[in-house]
Parts: sequence; C-alpha cells; structure tokens
Amino acid sequence: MDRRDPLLRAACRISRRLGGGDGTVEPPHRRGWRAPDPAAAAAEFEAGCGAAARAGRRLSLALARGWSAAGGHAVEEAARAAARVRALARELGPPRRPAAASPRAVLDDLRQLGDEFGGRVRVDLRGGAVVATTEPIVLRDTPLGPFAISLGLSGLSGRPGSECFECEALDPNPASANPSVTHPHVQAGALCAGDAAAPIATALAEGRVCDAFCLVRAVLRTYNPASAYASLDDWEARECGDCGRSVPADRVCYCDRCDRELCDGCTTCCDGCGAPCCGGCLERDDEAGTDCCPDCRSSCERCRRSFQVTGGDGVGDGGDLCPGCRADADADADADADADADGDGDGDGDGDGDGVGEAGSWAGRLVAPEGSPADGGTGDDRGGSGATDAAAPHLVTAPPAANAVEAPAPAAGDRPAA
Amino acid sequence: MKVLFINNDGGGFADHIDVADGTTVARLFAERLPGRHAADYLVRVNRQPAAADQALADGDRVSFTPLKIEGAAGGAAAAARRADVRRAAADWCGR
Repeated sequence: MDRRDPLLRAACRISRRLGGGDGTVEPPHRRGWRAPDPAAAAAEFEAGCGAAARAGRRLSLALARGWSAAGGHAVEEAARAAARVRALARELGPPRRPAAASPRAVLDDLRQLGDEFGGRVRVDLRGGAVVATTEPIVLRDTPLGPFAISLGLSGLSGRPGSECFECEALDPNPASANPSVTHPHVQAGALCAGDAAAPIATALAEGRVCDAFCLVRAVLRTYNPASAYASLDDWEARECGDCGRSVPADRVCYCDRCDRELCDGCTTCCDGCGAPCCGGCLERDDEAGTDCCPDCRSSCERCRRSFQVTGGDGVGDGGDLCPGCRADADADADADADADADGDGDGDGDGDGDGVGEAGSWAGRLVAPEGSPADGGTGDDRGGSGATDAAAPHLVTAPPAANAVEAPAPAAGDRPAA
Repeated sequence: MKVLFINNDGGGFADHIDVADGTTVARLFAERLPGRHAADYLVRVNRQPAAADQALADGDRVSFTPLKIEGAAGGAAAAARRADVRRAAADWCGR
C-alpha cells in the first residue's frame, strides 16, 4: 500500500478525527445513546416502570383476595404496562459509543464511494476535504445541474453531522427570488438534511463515509414541497414590474415599448396599434376613453390634451391638434374663406392672395373729416374728446361686394399709404 | 449466523444481527423494512451490489440506503415561506 495514496492519507485523517485522537471527548450523558433526547426518554421510561409496578401490586392484591375478575383486569393492565416499558427500553437504546472506524475500514469506504459516484471523487488533502460529484439533478422538470458534495474533514471531531457537508452547484440554476438557493434544500451551499440528519450523523460517527455521501445525494434527489427554501413552482418566476407579484416564467408578458416584465393583470393593449404595454407607457385620453402608446398618441398644441393619432376611425388625423381643436380650427378656416371677396379666402379683394388691398391701398376711399384742411377747415380745432383723431382723415369703406371681406378699421394715428 | 446490518433509513444504526442460514437479501429486506420497495434503496452486501436471491453468509456486511430522502428548509426559511403563502392567499382573496 502506497503511503502517498491520497485515499489512504484521507482515511487515516478521518479515522484519527473520528477516534477522538485530537482530545475531543463527548460528554458521558450524551455518549452513544440511541434516543435523540436521552433525558426525556429516561423520564418516560421511569414513568412506564412506575405504571407497571402499580399494575403488579393490584394484581397481587386481587389474587390474595380471590378477586378473579379484578385479577384478570390487573393482568391485562400489567401486560400493557410491561410492553410499554419494553418499547421505551428499545427506544432509549443501550449506552454505547460507536467504535472508532479503523483506517482500513475508512479506506474501504472511500473506495466504495468512488464506485457509487462513478469515479467522480477527489481528495483535497490541502483543503482537508473529500469531494464527490453527483449526476445532473432534475426535480419536477427543473434542471438544477450537478452538485459537488464536499465533506470537510476538520468538522469530524466531536459530533459530526450534516453540517460537515457543503453542496456546491456546479452548473447553478438558482431560484429567481433568491440566488443563494441553488436547490430547494440548499442555501448558500448548506444542506438542510431533514429526515436524513440522523442517519448522516450516525454514519459519520461510525466512519461510514460512503453511506453519509449517499444519504446527502438522496436528499438532493428529493423535493419536499412542504419545507423548501424556495418552491419549484416559483423557481423561475419573475416579478411583475408594475404590481410586484410573482409570475411563472411561462406566463410573463413584456411591454412592447420598454420591455418591462408584466403579469397578465398589468398588461394593457394600446387602443391604437394593439401592442401590449405597461401602465407607464400608456397614456389615457379621458375625453375619448382610449389608452395609447407613445407612437399612437400626440399632445395637442392648443389644449395640451393627449389624444390618439392613428388607427381606428381616423380620429385625430389632424397631426398636432386634437379633434376638438382641429374642428375649431377648421371652422375658423371656413369662416375666413367665406369672408374672402374672391373666394380665395385672403380677404383683400384683389385676388393676389396677400391679404392686402390693391397696390397696398385700403379697400375703400379716404374721407376727410369735417373741419380738416382737406375739408376746408383750419385744422386747428382740436377740441373735444378724441381731438387727435378728429384731424386725421378716416376711412369710409365702400359698400361690400358680394364676396368681399370688410377691411379692418385703422387704428388711432394710422395713416393710409399713399 | 451473524451479519452486520446497516439500516440507513431512519435511525441509521449498524448492528450485528442473527439471521437464519440461507437467508437471502430479499428476505432480510422484507423482514427489516416491511412494506418498502427494494427498488427505492441501495442494497449492498460487502460494499458490492447484490442480487435479491443472493444468500447471506456469516460475517457479511449488509446495508440498505434509501435513494430518496426528504430534506427541509431551515426554521426561518420555513416560517418565511409560510408567511408568503398566507400573504398570497390574502392577496388572492382580495382580488
């Protein structure tokens, strides 16, 4: 046997740890009892013995007095009490300390470990660990990848248990809600062994390292929905970006505008293009009762209302004005067109479309006010209100033609161009 | 004859037991794990896979190890999980 064999060296180290060679001594009252709580089991055993003793005394009294019926009952009661005491004795177990496993036995166990794990076992003497790798674990169609089960040799002193093991996910697919949960029963590398805790502890105490590894692997292969760090039903669930609810991965919706993940309840279709959107990307037109995405809505330049610009019944095809303001603008345009003399709608009466009368002149004739120099007056009489305006000629418009538009009255002080 | 029997299901104790001559692995399994299915266990005799009809010999080492065992979450995680379930139920009722 090669003393440099890593398995042999690991076996010697494990045997030394389990044998208490480092000076660790288990308290006598805890040493080797089968019952998890020896004190409680002993109290129950004492009570059972007392009940059996009382039944025995009643039986003796009944026999002494010839009470056959009472004696029969006493016999049955004593038998039941005795059976109970025997059961308590089995549960309590005889005090014994597990024999320290020899290096040879541990070596055989480590070799068996290689067989059970298909050769995927390695010994890290420097790190003080034995590592076995499982096959890829799949629970309820959820792939979790293979796990490296690592037994730390330093933890084998005292009362070794499942806490001596670490389970590292080699191809992690953690729970979406908690990245440290790589398996329903593994968090941050620590296994919660559940029903396997007791047999793992016993196996390690007896040096049955292979059995302990196999038990850990059995836990990794099993899903206990009643007690898991994360449920497999929500393993790949996503969080709705609007309401925060957990959504199964196969039922997630996405906002077509901002790619936010949404649940069914928070997804609304744009009334313009029909694209699914989140609440943040849709804006409501309270007057029309529609919800539209940014591509299907615009803001009115006049009233600042948000309105639909595409789709449907052609509502709001007027671009920057909402339907209401567009209707108002159209009405104004129609009114302007009606007042245009040449029908061209510019109101200047000369048909050139510039809105100004012929050769820049007003559409009308000037009439000198009474008393003005043009009227033969001195022009100095400025009395009365509005005296400034009284000296200026004022415009008298000609009777409007059939399609003419009334020219605006000149402001005070304005003089018509020559 | 005596065999070293290792039951890794439940208590996980190892003990020398008396078995009748000619006892097979299947018979011992049925006696020690009544109502269970051998297919759910790693059955090893002297650290090697064993057939159901293999007869045991004096001094054999027999182990039965379950292939699946239910684990658990830690106390705080289980309590948090229960709170989440209650909260989800309340939300559902509120809808």
